[in-house]
Amino acid sequence: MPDADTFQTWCRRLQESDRAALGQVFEAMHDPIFRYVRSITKNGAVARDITQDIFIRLWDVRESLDPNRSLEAYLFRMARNRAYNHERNRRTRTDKEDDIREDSVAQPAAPASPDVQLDADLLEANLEEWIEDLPDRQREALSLSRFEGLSHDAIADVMDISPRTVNNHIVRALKTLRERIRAFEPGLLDQ
Amino acid sequence: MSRTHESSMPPELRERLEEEHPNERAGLARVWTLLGRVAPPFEAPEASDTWAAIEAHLDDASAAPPLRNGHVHEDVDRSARRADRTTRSSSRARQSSASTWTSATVAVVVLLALSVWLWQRPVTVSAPAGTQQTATLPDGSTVELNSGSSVSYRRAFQSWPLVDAARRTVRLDGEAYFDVSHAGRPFVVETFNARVEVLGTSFNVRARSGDAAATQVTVTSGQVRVSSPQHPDRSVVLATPGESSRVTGDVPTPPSTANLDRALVWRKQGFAVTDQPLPAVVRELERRYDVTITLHPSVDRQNGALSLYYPQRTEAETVIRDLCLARGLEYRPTSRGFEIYDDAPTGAPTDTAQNSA
Repeated sequence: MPDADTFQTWCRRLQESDRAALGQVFEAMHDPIFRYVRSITKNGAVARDITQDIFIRLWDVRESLDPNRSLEAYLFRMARNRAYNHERNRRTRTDKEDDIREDSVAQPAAPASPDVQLDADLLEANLEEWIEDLPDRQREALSLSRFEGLSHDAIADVMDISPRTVNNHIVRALKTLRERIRAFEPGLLDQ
Repeated sequence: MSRTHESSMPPELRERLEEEHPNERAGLARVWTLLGRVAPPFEAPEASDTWAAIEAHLDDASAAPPLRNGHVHEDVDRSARRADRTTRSSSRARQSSASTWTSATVAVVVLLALSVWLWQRPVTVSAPAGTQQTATLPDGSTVELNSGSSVSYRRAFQSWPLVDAARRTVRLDGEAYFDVSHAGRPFVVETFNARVEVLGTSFNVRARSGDAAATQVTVTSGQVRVSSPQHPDRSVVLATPGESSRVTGDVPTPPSTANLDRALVWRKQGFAVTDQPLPAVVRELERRYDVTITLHPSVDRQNGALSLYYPQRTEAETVIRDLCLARGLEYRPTSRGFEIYDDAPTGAPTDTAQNSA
């Protein structure tokens, strides 16, 4: 992830309508933004559209960007607003269907087999699932920190919560995951 | 040993973990480390398509100056977040306003700016991956959208409130079948690299940027004119049902006869690709079935073009199985879809050597 100075330089160049700067921001931020939106919408095609829209919007508002505020956090914040808006609209549209579907999906996961010869793939797949199961805000704070490398301050800005709450979300998520790992294969936790 | 793990941990989190019992601390730090195995949780798709779409959009809009009222977006974002926050915790005190009179004026101005901005925003209809959709345009024309495609157009095809634009212009990203109603104004479909102009007719446009980027136009009735934005003068007219033209560079190809059943099979939930390279076929499958298909490095991406034709609805896995059979490849299911790999790559030891190096 580029550092704060790089973002600030990009911000200035965008203000001056430098298209090449938009290309650089896109190249650096496309993957993280896509992953973040996808983690909220759970739909690759929608995430692709929203990601595209975000960079177009960034260009539209380039003249009113504030180089003293984090461009990175701004991008994630736009991503968050759009992703949640989309989710809200979708939910109101398909409330009934979802209710029915959730009933059938929400079965407890099968107990993991106590296989000593633990396959790394298996843990990965399980971890992914357990992360999915985390409460939305915990998963969001954890992913932004662990997978996208955002600072606590940036996450606080994006999620509109205090840095202290960011910490609490992450610690709570880690604790939940620890219990699931422990139930799955306690040996993984020592070392 | 846990030093290296903790070094990747944000300082705030490390401090926070100091508050935990020492036994707890080690376990939580270990979880943090184990999470490194899953990062990143989702593979991002090829960014080049998205970038091409963005550039096309910006080129389109380049005549217009940047939004002076860009802060409106911020305001929208902020008010949305504020609403969000109030629903979350209504206990937060509301800030007292300095003067109700000025804020009322500001509100009116913002509202006006917002409504103009909303009005000039094009209307977009899209069919996400795995779905298809039919839309009726303001003039009564219909558009059937294939999976992973979208059309956008100006509200009521007007250039300004209550003022009709000279043409009915629709922007297409992906594939669609148009049935255009007769009206005085020409109907124009713009894609990332081509322009299709008609009076009243039905035709299919397939515009996919990215791998094997091209816009393919096939006419089913009436007459259409195809050109590229660079050379509007060197256009090609399609006047016989089944005639087709393709735009990849600056000039459309001369009319050739296409198999109509095949070109329109997607409207009957079938699946067809004609002479496409493997990565393009894979992208098409991803859109059609909303799955993620990865090509293992052992697969030779360059090796020849593929054609597939399924007149009826067919499972994604069946298509992939056939495709692999035709190419001597193997596939396996993954958590998000499928991976295609080559069991015995002929010229591929260099690939694997590169990967391990």
